[in-house]
Amino acid sequence: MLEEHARLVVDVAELSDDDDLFRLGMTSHASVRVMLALEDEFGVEFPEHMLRRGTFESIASIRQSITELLDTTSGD
Amino acid sequence: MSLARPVPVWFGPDESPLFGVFHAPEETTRGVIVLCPPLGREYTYSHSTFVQLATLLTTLGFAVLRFDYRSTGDSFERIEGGEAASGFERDIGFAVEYVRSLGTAPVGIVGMRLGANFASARRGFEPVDAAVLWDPCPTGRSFLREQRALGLFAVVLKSGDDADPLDFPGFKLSPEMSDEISSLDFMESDLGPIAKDGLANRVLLLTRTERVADRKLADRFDLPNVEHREVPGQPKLLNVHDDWPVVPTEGLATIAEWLDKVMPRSSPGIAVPTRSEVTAQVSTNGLGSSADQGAQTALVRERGVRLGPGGLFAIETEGETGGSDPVCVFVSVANEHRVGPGRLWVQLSRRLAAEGFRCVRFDVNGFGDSPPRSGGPVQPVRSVTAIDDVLDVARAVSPEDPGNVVLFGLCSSGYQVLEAALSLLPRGVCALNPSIVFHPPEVTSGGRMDVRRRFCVPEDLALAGARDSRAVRWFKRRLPTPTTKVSHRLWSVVGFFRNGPGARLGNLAQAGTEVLLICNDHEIQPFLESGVSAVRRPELKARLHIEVIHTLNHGLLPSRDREQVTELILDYVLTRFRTQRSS
Repeated sequence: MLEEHARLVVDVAELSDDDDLFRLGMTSHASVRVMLALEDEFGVEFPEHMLRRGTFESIASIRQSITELLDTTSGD
Repeated sequence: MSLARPVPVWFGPDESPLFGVFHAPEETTRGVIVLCPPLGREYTYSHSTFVQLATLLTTLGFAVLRFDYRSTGDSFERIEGGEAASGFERDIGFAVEYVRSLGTAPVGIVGMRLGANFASARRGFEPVDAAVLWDPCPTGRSFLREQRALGLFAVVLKSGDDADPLDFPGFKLSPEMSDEISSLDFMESDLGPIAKDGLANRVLLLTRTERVADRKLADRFDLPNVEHREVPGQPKLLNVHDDWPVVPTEGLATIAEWLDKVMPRSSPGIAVPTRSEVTAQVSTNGLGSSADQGAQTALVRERGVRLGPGGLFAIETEGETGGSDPVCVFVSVANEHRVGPGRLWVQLSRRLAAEGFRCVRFDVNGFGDSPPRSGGPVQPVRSVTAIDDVLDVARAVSPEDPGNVVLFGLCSSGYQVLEAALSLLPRGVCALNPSIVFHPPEVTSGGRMDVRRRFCVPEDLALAGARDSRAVRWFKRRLPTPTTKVSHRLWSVVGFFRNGPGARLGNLAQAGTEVLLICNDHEIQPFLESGVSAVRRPELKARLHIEVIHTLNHGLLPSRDREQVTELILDYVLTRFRTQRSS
């Protein structure tokens, strides 16, 4: 998904979980595309309080946010 | 002042008219095409694309109406709660009604992004002959979420508990507008209105190649009267970050070719409109996205004019009983057209006109509706020709005394008004976040810096690198604050004697110009480092008004920033120029 939407300047396969995606070339527009693709893939919607850079700045932060959203959804 | 084609027009409800630009072909008209723009930053980015599309279509024999929805661009505000409260969809109806009032020619519609969604509702008009739905939004809600996320990810908008969910980068919506957009849905709603005899006999759907949602959209539009094509170029037009929008020429060619094929070849023709003046009411408090019924209002008159030897396009605003000097001149920003950041120039023009000032907002050459100089190629934004434009406009609006103006600009035009001010010595100059540190285009292309550039600080990448080097950072960390303050003061005095931009502001004040400089704490630095604090004489300091707003966004994209700046500008104009005028 990152390979298709994030438009990074490095090979996605070489990323570590904590690499800063914005520093590696992901623009605001690209991060919105990543957000929409994640929503499509996992059937979730990022609420307003999650619409910030920190949510999408690394693989680890994305994973944590998705886990949180899926937990909330399954708890409903 | 003479008015050349394309013709600025106003139409729709008298209490809140819509602004449009009517392009007529050289010879007979085979039909009229109404262009429906997107909203928000997408509206700004696509403006020159729509100008180019209009020009292209006129070469095929079509007349074209470009227009702005109410509360956007140069149109007047919607009046919520009043008779004219109907929405964006109805505005397209007003545009179609207007072109049909000009004659019985066939009518086509081209709507981009939300413009396509609004057009599809066909509110207030009979079916048209052909419609192009260009990169429509799958849902209105998805558009709003994308815009909001963009603002938050780019840290342009504020997040948190006190964040305003109706604030988007460069535009703010009323709750009614937000509800209207949120209700748009191409993914789930009934597409019956788009089928034959609904919106149009023939429909062309243009989608992007790279979006999953667009592929689903194309499947949904599998209707007998709908053709589907994918067009490239939309990301480079609309998904721009640090780059500037690129006109999608392939998309324009596709649309022109399709309309040429499906629209009738001949028609009884139309009467080309001539209305280039309007009088309407404006609210005299607040800068909301719509006017409240019952709010304090005043009548203002607007007209489209061509100014100077280059025929620069401008809109002149004055009060019902006329306007007097000094003339407030608002210069278009960077590659955008005359409306200013988030329509700030439009709203300030109307507020100041209601206070009795004559105001003019114009497009610099090659941008918006102004032609390039001498018919040549479009110059870079920081070309010196834009400084000449400011001088030409001052001479055109105040021929007896070109200095009897107050100049306003932001970013590149903030720089241009400062440079023009040194030549004009105007009554006032207001520069917002002026970009004065850059590589002049003539230097980039190997020449010497133009002598007209006296505020420009050529960007020296080597020096910038050294300023940020490890060694300099090491010293900065260890030197006590008083030492750095002394050093800063020393540099300021050196800058004063070298006649840097800070000292130039002092020159303007000395010549009697009332200067208002509004910057964030980053963009004030070149002025601080070049002598502005060395301006000590009380009578000069009184004419040199500097406001540093720590968090001010460079392009004034958050509405909060525009509101802050508005207060400062109104205070500056009303206290410094109204008093002088009446005394």
